[in-house]
Parts: sequence; C-alpha cells; structure tokens
Amino acid sequence: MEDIPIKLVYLTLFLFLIDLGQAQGLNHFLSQINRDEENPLPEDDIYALEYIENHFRELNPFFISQIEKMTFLDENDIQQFKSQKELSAISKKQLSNNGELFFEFIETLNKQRSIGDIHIKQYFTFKNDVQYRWTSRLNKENKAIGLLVERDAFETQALDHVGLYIGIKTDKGEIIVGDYQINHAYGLLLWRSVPVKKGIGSIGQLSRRGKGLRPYKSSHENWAIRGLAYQWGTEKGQFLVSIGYTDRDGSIDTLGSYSIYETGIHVSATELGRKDGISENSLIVNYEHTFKLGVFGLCVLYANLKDKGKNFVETKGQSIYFDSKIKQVRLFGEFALGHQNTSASYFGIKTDNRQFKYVAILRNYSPEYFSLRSNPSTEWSSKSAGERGIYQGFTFKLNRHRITFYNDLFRKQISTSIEAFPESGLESGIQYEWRASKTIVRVRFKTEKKTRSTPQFIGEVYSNNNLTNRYQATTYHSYAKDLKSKLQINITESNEDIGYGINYRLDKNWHQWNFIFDGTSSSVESFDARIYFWDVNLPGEMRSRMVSFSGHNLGFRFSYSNNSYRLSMRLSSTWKNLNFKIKPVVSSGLLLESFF
Amino acid sequence: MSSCFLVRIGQRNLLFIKRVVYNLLSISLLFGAFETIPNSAYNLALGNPIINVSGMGNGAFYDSGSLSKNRKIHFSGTVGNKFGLSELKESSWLIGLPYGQYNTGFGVRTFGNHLYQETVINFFGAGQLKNKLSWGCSINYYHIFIQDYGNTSTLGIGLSWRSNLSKNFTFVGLLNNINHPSLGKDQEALPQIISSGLLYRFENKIKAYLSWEQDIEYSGSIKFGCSYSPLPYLGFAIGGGSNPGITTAGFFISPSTFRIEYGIISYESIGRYSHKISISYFIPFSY
Repeated sequence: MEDIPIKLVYLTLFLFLIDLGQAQGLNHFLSQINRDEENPLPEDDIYALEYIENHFRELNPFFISQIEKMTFLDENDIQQFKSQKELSAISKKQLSNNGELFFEFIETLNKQRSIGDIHIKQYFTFKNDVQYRWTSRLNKENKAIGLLVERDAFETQALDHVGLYIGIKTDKGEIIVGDYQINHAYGLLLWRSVPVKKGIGSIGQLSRRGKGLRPYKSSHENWAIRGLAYQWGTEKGQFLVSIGYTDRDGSIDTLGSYSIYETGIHVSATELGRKDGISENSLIVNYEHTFKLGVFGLCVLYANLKDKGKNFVETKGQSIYFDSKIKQVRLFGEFALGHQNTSASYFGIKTDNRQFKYVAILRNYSPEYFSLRSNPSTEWSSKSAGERGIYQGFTFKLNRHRITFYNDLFRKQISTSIEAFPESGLESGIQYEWRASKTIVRVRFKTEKKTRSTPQFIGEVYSNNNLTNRYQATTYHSYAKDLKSKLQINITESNEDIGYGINYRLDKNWHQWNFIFDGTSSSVESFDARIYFWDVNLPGEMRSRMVSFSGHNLGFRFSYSNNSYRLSMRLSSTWKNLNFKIKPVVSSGLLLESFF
Repeated sequence: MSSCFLVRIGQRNLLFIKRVVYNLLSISLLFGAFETIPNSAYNLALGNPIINVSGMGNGAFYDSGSLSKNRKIHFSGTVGNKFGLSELKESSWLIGLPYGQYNTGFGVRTFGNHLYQETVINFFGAGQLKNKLSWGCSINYYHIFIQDYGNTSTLGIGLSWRSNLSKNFTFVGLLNNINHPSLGKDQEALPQIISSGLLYRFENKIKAYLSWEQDIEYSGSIKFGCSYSPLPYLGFAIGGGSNPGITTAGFFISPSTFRIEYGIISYESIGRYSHKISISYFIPFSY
C-alpha cells in the first residue's frame, strides 16, 4: 500500500507529459551522446559543457579553447570548429557522430541569455544518507577560480573534502595553484584516474592526446595534485613544471614495496586519514614541441612516497610521445619507462576522410609495468601479467546512415598459472545509426569472449571462455519543438543467462520548466547478464544505472531556471521485483545553481 | 530535627536536579552538549529551525548571514526554561553592529544550572555579494562546566549564506562547527549541523519556509512553518518538525523600536513544553 502514492504521482506526471507532449539542453545532449552507458564522460568534460551551455555566444578563441577540451570530439571536429568564425559556416557532414550532436547542442542554446561569471552549485543527494556538495567557480578569459566543499554520506565530518584552485593565464604562460591534474600523451605516464575505455564511442577518444594542465574540479574522481604548476611557451617549445603532493590510499612495507589501491573513485581526506594512507610528493616536467607535421614531447616524473611509519620509496617514470599528420594519415604514439625500468608502448595510425575514418592501435605493456599516474586503455586492471593488444575501428558515413565498428584483440603477457596459457580474448562492436530531422535510430551489437578464471583455494581454475553478447536498440524522436522521447531496449546474453530491459523517457520543456519522466522495466537472470541505462540526472551529472535484477525503476526530474538561478530535483524509485509488491528503494537529489 | 529535615530536602533537590541532568545527558540522541538551539522566541514559534526565518536577533547565532539583513544597531535577548524545568535555564544575548558594508556581532548564551553549565561566546561577521548572496561566519568559544568534574573549552567555526532567488524566494544554507571541534580528554565531538531551507516572503506579511536539518551523527529532520502579520506591529506563527516530532506556535508585538516575542514548543516524544520570551531593540538613528 505504501508505494501507491508514489505510483500515482508518476502516473499523473506521465499523463501530464504525454498531454503536453523538444527539449534541448545539456542533459538531452548527454543522453544522446554516442557512448556506452558504463562509460560516462569525464566530469571535466561535463563542467566545460555546462560552461558552454550557460555562456556560449559565438565562436571566439576563448570558446574554441573550451571546445578543444572536449574528449568526446576527435581532432577533425576541433579543426572544423577552429577553422570557422561563424557556427553557421560549419558543415555537419564534416563532423563525427558526436561532433554532429555537439553542433546541434550549441545551435539550440539561447545565445541571448546573459548571466554572471560566478557559478555556485549546491547539491544534496539522498540515498540512505545525505551527500552535500557546494561548488563555486569563476571562469573568465584569463582567470579561473574554484572551490569545492563536500560531505559524503555517513561521513562524520561536516567538510570531509575541500578543494581549491586558482588559475591565471598571462601572455607568458599559465599558472595554477591548488588542485590540478595533468593528462599528457596517451596515458602511459600521466592520465586521469579513469582510463579511456574501449567501446563504440571511443574511436575518436583513443587517438586523442591528453588535455595537458587543467584545474581539478571533480569531487568524484581522485588523483588531483595539490601544489603549483606553471606552463609557458618559448620559441623552442612549451614547458611545464609541476611540484605538488597527493595523499593516496596505499601502503609501503618495510622492504620498500608499495601498493596503491585505485578504484578511480574519489576518496575523501578524512577517509584517507582514517586509513593511514601514504603521501606522495611529485615533480613533473614536460616539454612539447610543435612541428609543421605535428607534435613531439618528453615527460619526466619523479615521486617519493612516505607513510606515517616513515617508510620511504622513490619512483621515476619517463615517456616520449608524438602525434603527426601527413595528408590524411595521422601517426601517433607514446613509449614509457616506469617503475624499475618496466616499459610500455602505445602506437597508432588513423586515416581521416570525410566519409570514412579508420584507426588501429597497438599496445604493449610489460608485466608489472607501473607508473604512479599511468592509466592507459587496457582490458585488465591488474598490471602484474602485462598486456598486449590491437584495437581497430572505423566509422562510415553516407547521407543519413552511419556505421561504426571496432574490434579489440588482447592477451596477457604471462600466465598467472603454470598450467594454462596466458589469458586472452576479443571484443567487437558494431553500430548502425540512421539520422533524420526528427528521429535518430541506433542499433548496436557488442560481443566479448575471454578466458574465464575463478580464484580457488590453490591458484586459479580456468574453464571455458566467457562469452557475453550485448544488443541495444534506441530511438530518439522529437514530437514537437518542446517534447522529445527516447525508447531503448537492452539485451545481454552471458553464457546461459540472459538479461533484458526496456527504458522509455520523455523530456519536455514548458516555458522556464523542464520535466523528465523515465521508466525502466527489466528481467535479468544473473549479475553477468546485467544491463545498463542512463539514469535520471541533475544538470551536470552523468550517472548510469546498472540493472542486475528483475524489476522496475521510475524516475522523474524537474528543473526551473531563470537568469539568476536554476533549481532542479530528481526522484527515482526502484522495485526489485516485477509485481511492485515490495517497498521501493528511493533516491533523490536537489540542485540549486546560482549565477552572479 | 528541623535542620536535619532541611538538609534532607536539600539533598533530595540536589539528587533530583542531578537525575534530570543525568537523564537528559544520557539520552544524548536528543540533547547532548551544546545541542540546544539558541533561537529567538518567534523563530522557535516557526518550527525552531536553525536557519533564521524571522530575520530577528537571536536567530543569527547559527545563521550569521542573517545579520546582514539588519542594518541598524540592535540588541536581542531571549530567556526560557527547557522542557519547562527551572533547572534547565537557557538564555542568549546578542548585539549586532553594522560596519560599513559589513555587519559584525557579539553574542553570549548559557544553558544549565549550577551543576552543569554550558556557555558559548560568539563573534559574528556578515556581508553581501552583488546583493544576491549574503554570507556570514561565526567564531564560537564553547565552555562547559560540570561540578566535581571541572571545566573545558574549545573553538568552533560556523558559516551561513543566503541566495536571493527572486523577490519572494530565498535559499539559505548553513554549516555549524565545520572545524570538527571536540571537548575534553575523550575528544567528544560537538554537534556538526548542516541545514538548508527555502524561504518564501510576501510583502512582509506572510513568511513560510521548508528546511532540512541534519546533525551529521544522526538522520536528518524536516522543519516547516509560516507566519502572518496582519499589522506591522503584530504577527503570529506556527510550525513543526520531524525527528523528533515538535509542534510550535507564538506571536510578536512591536509597539515601537521594541519587539517582544513569545514562543512555545511541544516535544511529542516526551510530552513536555518549553516557553521562550525574547526582546529586541533597534537603535532608530543607527542607519
């Protein structure tokens, strides 16, 4: 009985939305983007998108510099935006799939809107306990200042994480004091805490170099460096020097071996304090030279790690990288030496044609290859056995039809069991997309086959290959100027288990209001057959929902905005059985954004 | 004989007071050290939120940003007995002083009796950003005295802010004891409270709010209330809250630059009432 009112609320809202039945904006763009649901965009991209959503007027150098930071765009997209002074002069045909969607997103923005440069966000999300987060950012042409204060659910300190950055750009260079991140080359030495994952939407991303020095704005990922970084350009090239420290979740034993626990998820300062983690002091120097044909760079990292027992370890890493373009062919790559002279390499080729793009990348990471901030694209997160792989992908575009295909073959370098071959596998995916003025249809198939190992009391036991097939069909439709819908069906087959689910979403704009109604029903036999959908998100969020049960989820979001503020709220209820006869798990969130 | 009887009566009283204090402290989920809210009587009548809905004087103890709303030198005082028990006296006194574009303030509050006494001395600062955001901060000196145990003290820091969303709506947020202060040898943590609320105001006649309040050690509570002022010098308020359940009511009369407030709060879980009386005075020539 107790879940009836909430069902009534959803039903009423559903009928209301059908009746009123194009919403635009960032959330709509994020729900349409060509990306696997288990692989959301980096938060840094979302913040840059938010800034564009709120402030974009025209294609001037400042906005071009913001667009350059978008990791989901490929080099050709950025070149297109850079080469034109007017948005209308850009040809959509020249852009990648995500480039087209991004172009449409910018086209629909309200360019008359005038709001202040200071953006304050107050987040409250609730699931079992409340998570509080306050962010304040000032972003102008030559200065960026940001403050982040957070209390995670169940934390016993009101401010369990505080972050601050001040970035100033001058004619001579750029300086950042506070929290920042350095992503260089292809991730062998310096990357974010989350690597680029393989998938349909990764073809452009795997061939892109890191974004270099950036203020660290995330509260969700870790790996920020706290200190000072200075980047300056000379006739001989661009230099970057960073001196800083990072508290890490890890330990050092008395023999000097160290381990760092990397989940990629943000760990608060208080949690690190409780765990007696280790402190890393680092010095990073990067040199990059731009030639007529491309870019060549060198990077050196030195760090020392200390725990509270005063155990001490030194570690070094260095890499060289390049990215050159000869007519329509791009060659790129990185070679790195990590801790104890272990090595890793990543080399690729990409051809860029108006209708056809092809990329092939060879990767070779030696066993135990490790560098403090390395996070290249891999199949296995464990580094002990190393990895070799070849990734290939292409996209083909003809009128309304777009075909994307990728394939990845991978193998560990050594076996973890003397009785078995090294683990290996393959992953392939193909997507067909049909685009019309009001409708987009996407059909996707992905298959993965790899050695299945099960940890046992003595060693591991290897059995038949693990085979997983994923099917996905999605349609996006615009009924009118202010109503859009999305229908998605997901099916996963894993060995003998199957999981399937259907998701329907309506996105409605009504004056200054935006409403989203979202419903999902699923039948999933086991965790291996799990399926993924995009969740109902507040502005600036990009969470996906993993479904490993049979049941339903209903979600609703509204937001109201004017030139001074935007108030948004989301609410979702999950029933973990098919007949609703169970108390739903409710999660909610409230966001107030103010502009000054 | 009679002197012996008087001694026994005195001992009984002492035992009673000790038992009350012990019981109140032992059910620390309700009221541990420094957990009483030093509200003005009218803010108490609005549901006893820690955000300053009434905008007057003593509500600034937690919500220091509200000081920037009073651009006159003002003085406020509140007295009351917790749960109607004379042994649990609470009083708070505050003076607000505009200083250029900013506001400063000084406050003192006490709670308890001669066996158990809490004292807090507060210094406030407040200001505004582009007329859209008011901010406030407070430095709080906490002092506790327990007979036969001694006394100890610590420092806490509080922050609050108000965003004017429109002519009628204001969003308020506050964080109390963000520096995680603790007391004594056992490092007993003082309450760290986070609150946020939405205030609605219509022509100074109607005020309403909804707020969320959470001491991060426990689950949160929702508070709400509204007030109506048919005349500039008269107003009535009611309110309530959850976890623990409370119901509140009260009124104010403001014949001139004086303002007198009365508020009552009923605690559903223990079936007792608390009353508060406040007085405020605004120096008229202090614009």
